Amino acid sequence: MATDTSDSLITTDVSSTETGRGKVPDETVVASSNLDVYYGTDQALEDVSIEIPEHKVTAIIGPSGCGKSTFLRCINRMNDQIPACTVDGELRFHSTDVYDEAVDPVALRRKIGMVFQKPNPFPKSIYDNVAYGLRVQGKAVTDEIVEEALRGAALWDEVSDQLEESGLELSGGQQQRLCIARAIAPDPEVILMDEPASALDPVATSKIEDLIADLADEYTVVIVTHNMQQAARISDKTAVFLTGGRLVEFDDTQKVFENPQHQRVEDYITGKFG
Amino acid sequence: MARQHYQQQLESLTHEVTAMAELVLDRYKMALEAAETGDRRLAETVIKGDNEINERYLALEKQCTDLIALQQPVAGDLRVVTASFKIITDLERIADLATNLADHTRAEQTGIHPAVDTQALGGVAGEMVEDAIAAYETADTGMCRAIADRDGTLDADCERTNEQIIRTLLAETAATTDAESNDGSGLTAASRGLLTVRDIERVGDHAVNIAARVLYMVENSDELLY
Amino acid sequence: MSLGTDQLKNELLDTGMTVDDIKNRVFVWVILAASLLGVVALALLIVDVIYEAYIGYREFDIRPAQFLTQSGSRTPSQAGFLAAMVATAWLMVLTAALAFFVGVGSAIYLEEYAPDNRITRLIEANLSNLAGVPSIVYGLLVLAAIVNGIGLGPILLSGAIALALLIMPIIIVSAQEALRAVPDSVRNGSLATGATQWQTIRRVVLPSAMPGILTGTILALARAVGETAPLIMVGALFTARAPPGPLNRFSAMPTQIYTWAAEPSQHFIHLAAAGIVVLLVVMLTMNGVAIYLRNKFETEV
Repeated sequence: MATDTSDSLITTDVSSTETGRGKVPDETVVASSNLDVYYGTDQALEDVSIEIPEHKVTAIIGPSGCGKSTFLRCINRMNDQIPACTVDGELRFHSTDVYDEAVDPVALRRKIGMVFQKPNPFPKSIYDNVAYGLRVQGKAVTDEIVEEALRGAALWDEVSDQLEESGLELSGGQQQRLCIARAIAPDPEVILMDEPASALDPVATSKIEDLIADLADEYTVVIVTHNMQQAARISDKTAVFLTGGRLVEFDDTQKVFENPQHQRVEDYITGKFG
Repeated sequence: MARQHYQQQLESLTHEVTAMAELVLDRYKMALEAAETGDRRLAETVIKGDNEINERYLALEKQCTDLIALQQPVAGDLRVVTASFKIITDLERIADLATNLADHTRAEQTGIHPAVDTQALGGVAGEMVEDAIAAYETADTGMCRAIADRDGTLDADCERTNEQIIRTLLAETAATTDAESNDGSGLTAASRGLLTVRDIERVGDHAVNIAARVLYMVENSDELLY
Repeated sequence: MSLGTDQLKNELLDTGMTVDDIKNRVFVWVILAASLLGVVALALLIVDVIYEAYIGYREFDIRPAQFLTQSGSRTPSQAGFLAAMVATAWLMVLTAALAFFVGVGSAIYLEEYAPDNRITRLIEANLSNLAGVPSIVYGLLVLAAIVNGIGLGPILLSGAIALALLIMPIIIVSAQEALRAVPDSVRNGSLATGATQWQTIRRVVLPSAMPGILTGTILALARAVGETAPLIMVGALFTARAPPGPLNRFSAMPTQIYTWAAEPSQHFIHLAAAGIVVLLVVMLTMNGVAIYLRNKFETEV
């Protein structure tokens, strides 16, 4: 029953988020303009322009194959690992185009952390897992930093007495939190999460969800999820991608889920397709 | 289309709400007729029928709650459920008001009060309810606004009728200053009349409420809500 | 109702042998026999060899103590295996040193760095070919290029080069397998944490793959231990003394056995059998170590 406005993109020039975090205008930390991404000849993303605000949780939802993970992986240039992937258009981290020739992807990934769908801790001790990022980046490794990271991932209480044990001995939910600790230990600015809870049971999922809300105080969180209720629960802003890789709507979560601007978005979130 | 079962449940909800509304309207019209003609038996039917309406109300309330808990409706669908929730409350209140009317009729042999043209006044309110339900069924937002406009007229008419009742009462009291011919029946009739008019006005207000919820449901607008 | 359940019961019950059952059993026996064929052949071989060695022990008084502490000699009663064992030990060390680093390095390049194009595929296809080349060819190659060409001569180093070339493809392939077994998710996790590709390989991929690489290397060396043809080509001959260093002439275990077995004297033949026993023990031990390592690290991951 939503009224169908034009199919143009909804972005506000100075976006502000009406959540409990106050109604101040948001600083943009990641922005894209007319981003096109191809895998070979298949177009995965079409003309995506978005401004992701700082210190908020931004959720990206959409049906399978709509390009959400592709977009996420462009932000930290993990798509470089796929030879067939080509990127057109602009994607800025603060004011730097991340696809500029001069930008070193390794340096970029030191500011932007990532958590994957299936927990992937290294076959090392818990301590070494958390310290890994610090070590490869040449930063100092101290027990305090490791503890802080584990606390930040709500894992400290469960593993403080077994830091020398292998990370692979933990349960799935704990492994994922270990991966989060590993991602936040080197103190990045942005944390990208690609369906972090989809491989976990409901209890582990809700622990991760609680965690995400706290993470946004320190970092900017961008989370891809296929679970709409999860996006509704935890995010401040929601971006809806639809089949074909187009960003159809981007607004405060509450608006998207109570009164979306586009009929296609309404149809998607009420489950009429996708 | 996905979520067939869920879509069917939503449709079933709106049908049931409409069915309850028709039942309530029916009772209301019966009450009006009974008031006009002083038909005690008709009044009795209305009073007895209130139970059935209350049961329907509870059942529909449960239906709404179940939908929310089990299907997590969002956006437009959510507005349908929350609007229906409120609308059935208004319908149940209308039924109660109809019962009030019937009560008065049962108590008095005669009609309500000569100054109160029950069918006309009550009929206007009844039409408003009918139109509101039609708007719900067809998602007609124009009709919603029209109903809100008519409420002003209804309120004015009610006020005039009230004045009329009080003038009549004052006139009667003035005419019968001696105690023996003052049997207090004029007082009772007047108070009943006033209450009836107020009830009819209330029915009109509920009709506006329903229209307001329908507007919210269709356009997410709280224009008529207050 | 009861009729239905009875019928069902009958359908479910085992009603004895059918043609299919018999075929099934015959098939199982046939493939069992085929598997056992190899085992039986090996058992027969070992029994025969041990028997010959035993005869040598009884009739020619070939005792382990002397056998293992004396070096080669024209006189059978004074012939021992020590020189050969020392030579083989030297060979293993040199071959491992030469083949391991080059082999593992190649595997890392092919698995982690090489782009997926025709050149890479060409290289990998040729590696498979190399693995199938007869070992004597490697001997000829080293003879021509190293022994004669560069002029190093028939020394340990030349033998080690031949063996290293022989087992390099095996090491590369098994190292590639071990690297491939490390899941990409772990590489992605490392890269996403801001590591370079080399850091990822050094800190995460290689440590994970190392057990597999070691197992493959030990198995390859176990094979090299027994290779005779390339060593003969290179010129390992009958010498009395254990080689003091890599630049000396030598005769390793398999060539010593070959030399003894070619002698007309029966004594020497039984000496050869004794040598074979030692060689087999070494080979089986190496294989055992490799398998033990593999099992240990497989359960860990």
